[in-house]
Amino acid sequence: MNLAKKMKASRGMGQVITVTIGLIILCIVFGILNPNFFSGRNAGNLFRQIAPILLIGVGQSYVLITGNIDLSIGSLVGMSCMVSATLMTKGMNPWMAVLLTLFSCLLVGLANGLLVAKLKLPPFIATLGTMTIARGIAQIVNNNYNTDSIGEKAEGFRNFFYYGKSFGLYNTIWIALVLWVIFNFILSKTRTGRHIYAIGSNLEAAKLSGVDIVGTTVKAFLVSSICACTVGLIICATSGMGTMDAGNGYELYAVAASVIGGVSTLGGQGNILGTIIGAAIWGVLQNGLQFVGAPVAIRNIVIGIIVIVSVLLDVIVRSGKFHNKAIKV
Amino acid sequence: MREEILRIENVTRKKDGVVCLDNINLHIFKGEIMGMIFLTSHGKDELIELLCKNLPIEYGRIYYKEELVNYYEYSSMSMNQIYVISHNDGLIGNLSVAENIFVMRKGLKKHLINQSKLNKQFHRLFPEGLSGISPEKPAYELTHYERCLVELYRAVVADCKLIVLRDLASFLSRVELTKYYEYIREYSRLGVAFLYIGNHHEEVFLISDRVALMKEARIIKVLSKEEMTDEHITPYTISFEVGEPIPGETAGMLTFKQVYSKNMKGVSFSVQKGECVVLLDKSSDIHEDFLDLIYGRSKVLSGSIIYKGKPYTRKEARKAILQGILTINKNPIKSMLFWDMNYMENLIFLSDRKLGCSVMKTRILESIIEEYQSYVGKDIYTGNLKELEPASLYNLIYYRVHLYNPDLLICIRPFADADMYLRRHIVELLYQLKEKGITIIILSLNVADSLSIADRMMLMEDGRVIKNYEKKDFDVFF
Repeated sequence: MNLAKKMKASRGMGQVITVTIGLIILCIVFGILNPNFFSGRNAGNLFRQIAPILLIGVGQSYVLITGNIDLSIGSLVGMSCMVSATLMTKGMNPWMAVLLTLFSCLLVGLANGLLVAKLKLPPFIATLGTMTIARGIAQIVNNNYNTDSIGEKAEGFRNFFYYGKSFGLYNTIWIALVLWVIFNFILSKTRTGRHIYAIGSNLEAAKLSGVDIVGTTVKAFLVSSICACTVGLIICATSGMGTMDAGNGYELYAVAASVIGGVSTLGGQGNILGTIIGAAIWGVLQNGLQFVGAPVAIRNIVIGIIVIVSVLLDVIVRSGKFHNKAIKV
Repeated sequence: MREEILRIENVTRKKDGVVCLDNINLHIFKGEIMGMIFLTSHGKDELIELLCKNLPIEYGRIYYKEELVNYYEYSSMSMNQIYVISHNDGLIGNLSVAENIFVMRKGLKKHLINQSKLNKQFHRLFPEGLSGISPEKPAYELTHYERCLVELYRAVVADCKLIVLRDLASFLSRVELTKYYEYIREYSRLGVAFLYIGNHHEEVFLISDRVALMKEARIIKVLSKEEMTDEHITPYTISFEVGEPIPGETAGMLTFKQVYSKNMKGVSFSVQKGECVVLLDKSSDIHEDFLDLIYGRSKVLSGSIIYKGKPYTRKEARKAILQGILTINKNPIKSMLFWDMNYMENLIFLSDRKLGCSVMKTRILESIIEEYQSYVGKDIYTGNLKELEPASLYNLIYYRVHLYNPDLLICIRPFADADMYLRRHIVELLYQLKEKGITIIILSLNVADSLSIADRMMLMEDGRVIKNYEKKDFDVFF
C-alpha cells in the first residue's frame, strides 16, 4: 500500500486493533460461560442493543476529538423522545414530528457549540447547563407526564426506527450503520474532519492555520445532537411512547464507547471505527454479564472500571510525548 | 580565595540511555557571571535540570555552596537553591508581585498574609523600587521584562546564591536586556552568582566574566574575559552565508502609511514583493500590534495599510490566510505542529484549502510526496512526529509554507531558542522560501542571525520606525 492510501487509513488504528482483540476475547469468554451467547437470536438482540450506544458514541467522539465533552447528550435523547412522542400524540404527521424534533435538537447542539467556542465557556459547564435545560424540556413538553401511546398512525415510524427489517437486519442497525458511514467519511476523508482533529490536537496551530474554530466546534456539537436525536427517536419507536427519563445515564455510555474505542479525552486522537468496537464491548459486557447472571450493579461497576482504565492509559501514553527529546529545541 | 558557589566535577549523566552530559567540569564563584553558549542544544535542558535537582548521575560529583550535594554513588533527589529565569513564567499569575516575592517561597512560617505588611517589606527591601512596579500589581499584568525583574528579586529574597538566566534575548528586547544587565551586575557585586545561558556570543560576551562553550553535551572550551573576541570564537562557529542575494521586485507587497494603533505612532514602511525585511523592535511593543492589525484583531486608529496594491481592511484581515498571508509563530515546534497527525497530514494541512477540495485526491497526495521527498527524504513517511529531530520538524514547518506558497510570510522570532546549527538550518529554509518568491517579514527583538537572510532591516522604537538599514549597511552590526 502506498503512503497516500496508508495515510488515509491509519489514524489511531493501533488502539482499534488492541480493543478488537479485547472484544474477541470477551466474546470467547462469555461464549464458554454460556453457549447461548452465540445463538442467532441473541446476536440479533445484541446488535440492536449496540446500535443506539454506537450512535451516541459517534456523536461524543466528534466532540471529544475537538478536545471538548458533551454532557447533554443523554438529556437530548430524552428530549428527542418526548418531543417527537408528544407531537405524534397531538396528531402531527410522524415524519413532520421527526423533522421538528431534529430541528429542536440541532438548536441545542448549536447552543452548545456557541457557548463553548464563541463564548469560551468550559465545555463541562456549558453542556452541564444544556443537559439540565434539555431534561427540563423533556419534562415540560407534556406537562411533566410520560406521553400516551403514539398510536397506529405512527406504525410506519416505529417500523422504520425499530421493528422493521431490511436485507435481514433490523432497521435500527441499518440506521446506525448508515449514519456511522457518513460521519466516518466526514471525519476521516474531508477537510472538516481534519480541522476537527486539528482543533483537538493543537488549538494554537489550528488558529494560525486559519481553521474556523467556532464553526468547526459547532459542527462537532451538531453531529452529537443529530446522533442523540436519532437515538431518542429509536427509543420512542421502541416503547411506542415518550418517556421523560429516556437517555438517563447515556452520557456515560457515550463517553465509555468513545474512550474504550481509543478516542482521547484530551482531544486530537481516535477514530469512530474504534467507537464501533467500544460500543460493541459495552454491549457484549452488558449482555454477557446478564447471561452469566451478574446483577446490574456489577455490570455498572465493571464498565466504570473499564472506562477509568481506558482514560488512564490514554493519559499515561499522551503524557509521555512531552518528555520526548524531539520536542526539546 | 573566592568562595565557590558551584563545582561540577567530571559529571556524566545519561537520560533514556543517551549521554546528555559528558564529563562536565564547571566552577562558578561567588559574584561571578558565568556565560554559557550551547553550540548544539544537546544537554541544555538536562544541565539545568541537574543544577536544580540532585538527580542520579553516572559519574562525578557536584558541590553547591562548598557542600557535596550529588555524587555518582548517591543522589538524594533533593532540590538545590538555584533559581532559573527563562521564557517560562515562574510567577503565580493571580497573586500580587509582593505575594510572589515574599509568600511563594520555602520556609515561610506565617499563616496569615497581610498585604499591607508585604508592601512595607517590599519598599523596605527595595527602596529604589522595582522600575516602577507596584507590589500590589497582579503578576499576569507584568511584561516579560517586569516579570524577569520580579523573578530576580524573588530569587534574591529566597537566598538563592546561583541564578540561571536562560535565553533572555529570545524574549527581551535590546533595550530591556541592557537595563536588565544593570540589575545582574548589581547583584553580582553583592555576591550572587549567575549562569548566563545564551545562543549568541555577541550577547553572552557583553555580560559574562568567563564563557563556557558546550557542544554535543561537552564543554569544549572556557574563554576568559581577555579571550572574548571574535577571533577566539570563530573556530567554533559556522558561517551563516547562504546563496547569492535574491533581488526583490519593485511591486509593493505591504505598505503601512502613517499607521496609528495602540502602540504604533505613525508607522510608515513598505515591503516589496520577494523581499526579506527584518522589523527589529527595540522596545518590544510593536510586534503584537503589527500581528493584531494583519489578522484583524484590532483596527487601525489612523492611517492605512495597503496589501498587494489594495486597501487592507479589517474584513480582509480576518481572512488573512485566504489573502495569502501566513505566519510562522515563535517556538514553532510547539505552536505549529499537530502532534496527533502524521508527517504528510501536517505537510498538506493548509494546501487542501488552497486547492479548494474538501477531500484530497490520492493522485495529488502522491505528487506532493514525490516532490517533497526530494527535500525531506524518508521523513515524509513518518507516522509519529515524536520520532523526528528538531531540524526535521523545522523542515516540516517551513516546507508546509513552501507547499502552500503564500504571498507574504511573517516569521516571529524564528531563531529564538535554537542552537547554532539549527539557526543555520533555519536560514537555509528561509532562503528556499525567498527563492520561491515569497515575501518574508521577520519580527525580531535582536539582530542575531536575521541579517544573513534579510535584504533590509527597519529599526523600530517607541512606536515608530527610527531607521532603515539597507543590506550594504549591515556591516555596522557585525
